[in-house]
Amino acid sequence: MLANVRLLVHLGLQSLRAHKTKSLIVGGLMTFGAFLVVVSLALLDSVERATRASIVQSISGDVQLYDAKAKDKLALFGGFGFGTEDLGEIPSYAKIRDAVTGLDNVVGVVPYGIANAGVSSPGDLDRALNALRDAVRAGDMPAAGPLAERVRGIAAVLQAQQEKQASVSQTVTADVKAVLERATSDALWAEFEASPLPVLDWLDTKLAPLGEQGNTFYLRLAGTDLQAFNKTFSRIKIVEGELVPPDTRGVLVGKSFIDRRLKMAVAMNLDTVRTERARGATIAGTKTLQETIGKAVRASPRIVYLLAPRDVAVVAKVIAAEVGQPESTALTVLLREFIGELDDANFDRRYGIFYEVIAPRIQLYPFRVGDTITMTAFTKSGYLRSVNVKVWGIYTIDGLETSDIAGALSLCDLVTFRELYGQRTASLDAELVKMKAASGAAAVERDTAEDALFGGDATVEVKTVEQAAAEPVLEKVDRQADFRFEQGKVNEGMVLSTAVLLKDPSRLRETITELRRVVEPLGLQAATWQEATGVVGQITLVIRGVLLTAIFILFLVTTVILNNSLVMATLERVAEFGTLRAIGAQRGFVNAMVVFETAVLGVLAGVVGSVAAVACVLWLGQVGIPAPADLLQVLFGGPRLYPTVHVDNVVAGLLATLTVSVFATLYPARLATRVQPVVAMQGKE
Amino acid sequence: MSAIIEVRGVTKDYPLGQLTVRALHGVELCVDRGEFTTIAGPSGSGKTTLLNLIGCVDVPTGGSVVFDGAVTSSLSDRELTRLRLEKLGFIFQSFNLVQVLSVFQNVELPLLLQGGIDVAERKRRVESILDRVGLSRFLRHRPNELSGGQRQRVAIARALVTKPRLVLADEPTANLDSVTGNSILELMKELNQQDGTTFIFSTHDHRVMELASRIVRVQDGRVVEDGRGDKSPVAAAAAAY
Ligand SMILES: Nc1ncnc2c1ncn2[C@@H]1O[C@H](COP(=O)(O)OP(=O)(O)OP(=O)(O)O)[C@@H](O)[C@H]1O
Ligand SMILES: [Mg+2]
Repeated sequence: MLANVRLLVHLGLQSLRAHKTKSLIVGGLMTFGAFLVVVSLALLDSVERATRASIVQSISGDVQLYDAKAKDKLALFGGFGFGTEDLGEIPSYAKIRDAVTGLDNVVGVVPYGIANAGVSSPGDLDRALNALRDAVRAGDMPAAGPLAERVRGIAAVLQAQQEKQASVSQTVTADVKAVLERATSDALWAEFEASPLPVLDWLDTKLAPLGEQGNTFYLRLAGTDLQAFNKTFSRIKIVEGELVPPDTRGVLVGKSFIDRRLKMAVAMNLDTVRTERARGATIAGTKTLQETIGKAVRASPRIVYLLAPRDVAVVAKVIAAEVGQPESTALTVLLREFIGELDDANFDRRYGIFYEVIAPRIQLYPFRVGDTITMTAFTKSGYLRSVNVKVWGIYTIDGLETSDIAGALSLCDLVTFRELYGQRTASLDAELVKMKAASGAAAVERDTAEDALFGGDATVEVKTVEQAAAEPVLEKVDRQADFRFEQGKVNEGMVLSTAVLLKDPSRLRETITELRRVVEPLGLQAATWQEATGVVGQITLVIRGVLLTAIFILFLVTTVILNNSLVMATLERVAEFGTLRAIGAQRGFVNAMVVFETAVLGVLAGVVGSVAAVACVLWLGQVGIPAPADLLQVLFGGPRLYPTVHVDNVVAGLLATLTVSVFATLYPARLATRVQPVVAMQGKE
Repeated sequence: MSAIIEVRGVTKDYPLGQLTVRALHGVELCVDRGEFTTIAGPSGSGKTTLLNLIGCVDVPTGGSVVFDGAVTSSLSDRELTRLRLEKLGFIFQSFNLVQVLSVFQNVELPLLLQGGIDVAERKRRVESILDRVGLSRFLRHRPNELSGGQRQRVAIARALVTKPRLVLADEPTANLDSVTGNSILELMKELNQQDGTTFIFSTHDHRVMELASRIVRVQDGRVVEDGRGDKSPVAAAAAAY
């Protein structure tokens, strides 16, 4: 038996040697196949691990539990519902947490409630007028002086813009012209010195509408138990400010989100140029970078009115020196040149000047850490509801600082989420009433809060008032930006989902079964992180599907080619098979001969291909594969993917080639066994 | 002496398109152990067909072939194969050696197929038979490194290494020059006389026939003469041609 196997291997090897060219082509094809399978599976697994590390350990956990009656699928980072998904509710988070915490392999449990909220930020003119009005009302005339200068400065910029527009089109009316003329006149500001309030009213009604509209940005909010969240997700880092303290209302926003969406346009565009240059692009050679610089130039006048009047001269001096113009030149002109004439030689220096001289003197973001922002959302019941929340800090995800995912969600406390989500239950009402009593805070008067924080959007205010009229107590509670509440009570309330982080992610299947057993009686379902993170989590599944399909097709083609060449070889060897049959070899032996020959080829090809693949992945693991786009950083677990290769991948590669060789050999082997011994007698060798 | 092979009223038809070709017509033949028999006849007379039936690589259309007591047409393909492996040796017109194997490995092949013979025993038997056919110095050679005569000697060694009851050779000298052919026949004759191995070989070369102890003459699928060597084979052969 053993001797026979040795004979078969020997016959196989010898026959392969006898047909060198054919063996090399077929073997090469299979080697390539094995190489491809091992490398792509290793990369896929690495990407999946990296994605897991990106998402699971920073936001989603391995498993998400949510209402079994949910009409839509949970999509943490947003799905196709844009916030209108119906995820059902988990009436009491604490109950779920207690049921799940004890389970083997569970290391962290974090509640979630997702809501989308709009935040309006006032335009620059509104902001300046608001500040001026506050100073005047407070009777702080020394502060009012520079603020008045700023309003006047903005009016001057608007006037310059209007003159430019007038030269190209006739759309500017005489009214507008008159208002701007008056707003920039010495007469008006002398009047302001004397009696500020009537002038302020005039500015509010006439000048304010001419200013740029404030803009509204949207936050995808994840309400959570921030303490538990911080403890569970080790990759979250607060880069500015601090974690919202326990039992306090507050929000943490993502660094990459504010950098990419909310940052002042000049700074944002300059950042883009810097990133692209770091990747090897040049301003001279890249059209899009020139366009980006053009955008920065167009946004540059804003710098002038974002600057405090006393800072204008300081900045002008530095910029004038840089661009080689007299200091007396208008700052708008200087800035136009400073940014407009950026090139590869001066970029790094000017970028440095921007961040050292200009950036510290202007507000780069619509809000600062410590500011209170007003978040507005459509509640479940269809009302608009506004909540004032303090921005406690800015967070990022370790290793994914430049990825979009790092800021995709803003984090807030559960009470804020519940109010924006707007679910009304008797227990929540009671809870809020209790909270109000417990906090002992005086109700802030709605109008003043609105005035202080809410520059522009009148329609929102109106709806809020309607809502407030219906539920006066709750509205007043809502207005408080930094009241405290009892954490224990909060966790007893409603959430939308619960993240579960596992100790050993490779036991996901097993643990999810156990989780289901525990939570299904409580009316919940369990989803893996891939299912629960919408598009982001499923990208890897899609890539896997596409890749496996491609591999399957490749192997199908290889099988067909191999099959054809084996059929030819069999036909050439009819006399040999006939002879063997005549001298006493059974059909099975002839069959084994053909199968063995290809199997030997398959194993050789598999081994060579796998060794090459392992070497390749090890090398890639050393140098890393750069993420071609920021979006892919999530999949790569950071700016570079350092892939690893596992035994599984190699086994899969070997199995694949072996399977191909066996499949390809089925038909030729059948042909060979059908060769009759008589052919040996028919002469010719 | 008991018969090793009995051919009784055998006919053999070959399909040829819509028609059938009858290659053998009621052939009767009995061969005893130890005989050195030649089947002679012109081309197309049915020599190969008859040897195929005797050699159990084919079964008759009518009549029966009894090999060593077994009726071949009642045996399965497996059983026929086993029979060929254990009791028959084949020497082919064009040698039919396995090109990728060495001389030693070609001769060892039937022993490996039989199984159950240990390495030392195989080596001993292969070397001894190769010694007898005079190829001791060529164990590691490949068939394509040998002359025609040497190849046929390898084939003879392969046929005899299993100590078969019967060795069949279909025109063993047809691809050899006459001197080499003769020496091959001498070798076969020698092995027949020393070991008592039964040989049946076909030929239409009358010099070859001279060496046979019995000549069975076939024509148009019929046995037309069956003469023992002691009844002047040379004269009989001369008469035929
Ligand atoms: N496979 C086959 N199919 C059809 N007819 C066949 C087949 N084999 C042999 N025949 C026919 O049977 C007859 C006998 O052929 P066979 O090969 O037995 O003759 P032979 O005596 O061996 O001839 P040769 O001396 O040429 O080898 C011939 O007429 C031949 O054409
Ligand atoms: Mg013939």
